[in-house]
Amino acid sequence: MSEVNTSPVTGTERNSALDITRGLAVLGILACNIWAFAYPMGIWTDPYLMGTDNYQVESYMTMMGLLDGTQRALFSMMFGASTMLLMDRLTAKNIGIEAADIYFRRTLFLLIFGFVNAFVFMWHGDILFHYAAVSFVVFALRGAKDKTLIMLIALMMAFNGYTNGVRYYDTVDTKAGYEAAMVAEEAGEDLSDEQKAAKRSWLRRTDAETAKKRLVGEIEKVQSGLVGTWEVRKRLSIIFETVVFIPGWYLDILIMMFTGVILYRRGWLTGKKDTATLLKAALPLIAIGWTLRYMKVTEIWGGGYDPVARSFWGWVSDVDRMMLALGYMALIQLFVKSGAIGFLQRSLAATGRMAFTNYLMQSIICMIVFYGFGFGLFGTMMGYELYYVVGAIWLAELIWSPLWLKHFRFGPFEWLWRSMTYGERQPMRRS
Amino acid sequence: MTVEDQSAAPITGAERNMALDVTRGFAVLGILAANIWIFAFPVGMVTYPGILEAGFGDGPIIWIGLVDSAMRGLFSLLFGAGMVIFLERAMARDGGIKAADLYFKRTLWLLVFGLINAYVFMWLGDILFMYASLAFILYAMRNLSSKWMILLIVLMIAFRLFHSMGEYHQAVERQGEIEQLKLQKSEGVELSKEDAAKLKRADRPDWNGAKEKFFQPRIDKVQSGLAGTFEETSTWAKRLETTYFYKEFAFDILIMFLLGVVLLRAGFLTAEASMVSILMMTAAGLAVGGYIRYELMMDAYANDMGGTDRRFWGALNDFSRIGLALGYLGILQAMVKSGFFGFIVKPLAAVGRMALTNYLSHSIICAFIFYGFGLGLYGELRGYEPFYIVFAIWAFQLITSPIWLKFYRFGPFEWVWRSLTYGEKMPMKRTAKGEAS
Repeated sequence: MSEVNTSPVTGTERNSALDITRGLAVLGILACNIWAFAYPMGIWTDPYLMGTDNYQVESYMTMMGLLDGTQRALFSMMFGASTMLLMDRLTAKNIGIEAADIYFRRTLFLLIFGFVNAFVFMWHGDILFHYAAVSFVVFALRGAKDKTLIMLIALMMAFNGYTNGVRYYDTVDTKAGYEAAMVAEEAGEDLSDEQKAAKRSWLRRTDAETAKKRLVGEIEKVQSGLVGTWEVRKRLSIIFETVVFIPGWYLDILIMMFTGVILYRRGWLTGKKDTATLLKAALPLIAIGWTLRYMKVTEIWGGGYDPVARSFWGWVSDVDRMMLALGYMALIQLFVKSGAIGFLQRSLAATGRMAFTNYLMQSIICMIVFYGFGFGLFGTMMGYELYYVVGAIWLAELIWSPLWLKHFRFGPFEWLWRSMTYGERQPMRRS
Repeated sequence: MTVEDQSAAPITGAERNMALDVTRGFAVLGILAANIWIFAFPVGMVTYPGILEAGFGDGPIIWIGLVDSAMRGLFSLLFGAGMVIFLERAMARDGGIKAADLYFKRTLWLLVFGLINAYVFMWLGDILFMYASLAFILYAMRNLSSKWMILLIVLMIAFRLFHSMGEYHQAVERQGEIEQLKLQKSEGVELSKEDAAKLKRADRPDWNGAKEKFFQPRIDKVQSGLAGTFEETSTWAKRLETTYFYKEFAFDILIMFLLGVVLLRAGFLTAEASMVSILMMTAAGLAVGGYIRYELMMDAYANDMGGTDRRFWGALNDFSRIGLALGYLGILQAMVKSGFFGFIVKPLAAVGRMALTNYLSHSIICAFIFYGFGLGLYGELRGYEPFYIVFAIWAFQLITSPIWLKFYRFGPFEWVWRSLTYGEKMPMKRTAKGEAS
């Protein structure tokens, strides 16, 4: 029996439109994540907690308006598309069930990398764990028709719409209850249990003083060194891998992965659409997306933090996020098609080809830059200054990725991942 | 839940392995004896210290001694083994990637069944969702050698032991601190604001007080009707499927999945192991598990569910639950192997062959018995009454399962599951010869 080739793919097989999109997504994701690397999570709801000097709130609003969620969405789409690509390639090799075995060994090690990212590199915003945990769903549905996938996407979005709607009305009710309680209190009446609960619940969401105290405490703890950082980040990592994951990101990720699968099958990610089609998709999607986002950020944070507006726009968020992610995707395809700035395209493709390494490196670099045992910049920088860090990391990744791939076949973490998946050391050097 | 049926293509009744089915049947019945305490009462009510003094009865102590987590363990063990058997048969019949596809379609539908069980049948303790979520890990590890699997099991147990022992020591420290503060207070020492607050927090009401304060509002909610029941059960179901799953059940289940595969290979699930080794496993399991659980129960009686020693024996739970599960498993295997116990083995096998149906009908039956829109016995039972309900449901399922399988090839939910997995309606009725073609 001839040796069946199950070895990983090498340079020439890769599709550069996919690589460039993935490269941009992995860089873009840092521009969002940097706020969570550099500050306590409290600022994610209320950026005023860090003060309003130096356009602090405005820079946060800009990120929220232009990028928030869209880059993770792109990243998830690319993951869905890559899954298809990988399975297509593996099944084409006619290796039977070994194809599925490779896929799930890969998934299992991804799960472990996710744990390492969350608990060793202490990045609670890790997404690898989540990708691994939902991978089996994508596998089970990989043969599903586009129509089925679109129906599932619609169902999941409807479910999100329902739960987010409930949450919005709950917020409205809580605020009304709080206001009624305040009126009653002013009139000197005793508050009913319900009014007390509404008051408590509303203050928990809006009481800036407590939030500020918590924020300062968290900054001190992260600055105190390894143990303090680990305690803060471990707590958050567990929250993100449990209560944030199951009811929230699970569907979020699946929606985007399925979208990626459909786009991939229809040639949107592989340069098969002509310029006019891409333009027709990109312009209206981005125009409407930006309009919605502009309304969103101005209403939530324009004049102080408004929790009701936040829960309202949280309800809408699936829509503006999807539109922007699709719009950006089309824009990226246009960029690839144009062939403009060739050296940057090549750098981006290399960055995308070692996206796993670059993603993990962001955690490692930010850990050193921000946490107390490193340079300890956590909670000390202004919002716009964060983008110096982002810019520096982008530059580093855009430079080291092509250099590395000139000499080696895979990024270092890709190599490790592959070697674990195939159970043997993969050839690393280019011959 | 579990693997009602292990073949990739419909198979004949004769192919089924009696020993596996019997064990699965026992586990699915046993799990009800554990779950009944969550079906019938708010979480935490019957394990709150002071049940004996309050005259509640010692039912919960028997539960935590003989049943708790051991039955779930056995159930998980059989699920893990069953999934691997399913895959092997699928490989033999369909071969190649199709087998993996079937495995994961089956898993995906199990996930859906789990969600239905939790949010439609309103069973907050559903385990199917967790099994489905972990099935891919089992898949990825299924070809590991038994040695590797045992190593992983040991590592997981060690990790959990480290955690639970840490928690035990923290509890002891806290307890010591409280005693100290109490002593100071009784001596008239002025306590700091912080210490006074600590002391106040530690001063928990007795069982009846706790019931009024913590549990009665939740009972009222469940009794109030459909909306209230859903609110209470779905809140807990979400908690179980997120934080509890992650911190507690994931390893709890994975340990048993892997152990199931190891035991399957060694012939301990199919009565293929020798009688001597089965009996040795039984004796060892019951000795270790029995000893720890005996100490646990004695402490629960002595301190009326309070005290910190119980936490020590609780911290050893992996040893006691695995011990008991292996002990029960060994007894069942020995019974099947001996061939003397047909009268009980046959109905148990039928229960096991439609385990998914029987497991899900526990939720449906108990929702009707306990929740406000049904008979509304939630929070009402005392003493051994929950066990009487368990016995009644056991009797019902031991009688109906063999009868159903006389006429049909699969339990109703098994049939739906299979049909969904294969994407087509499966033959349901038995033909005159007893088997469909």
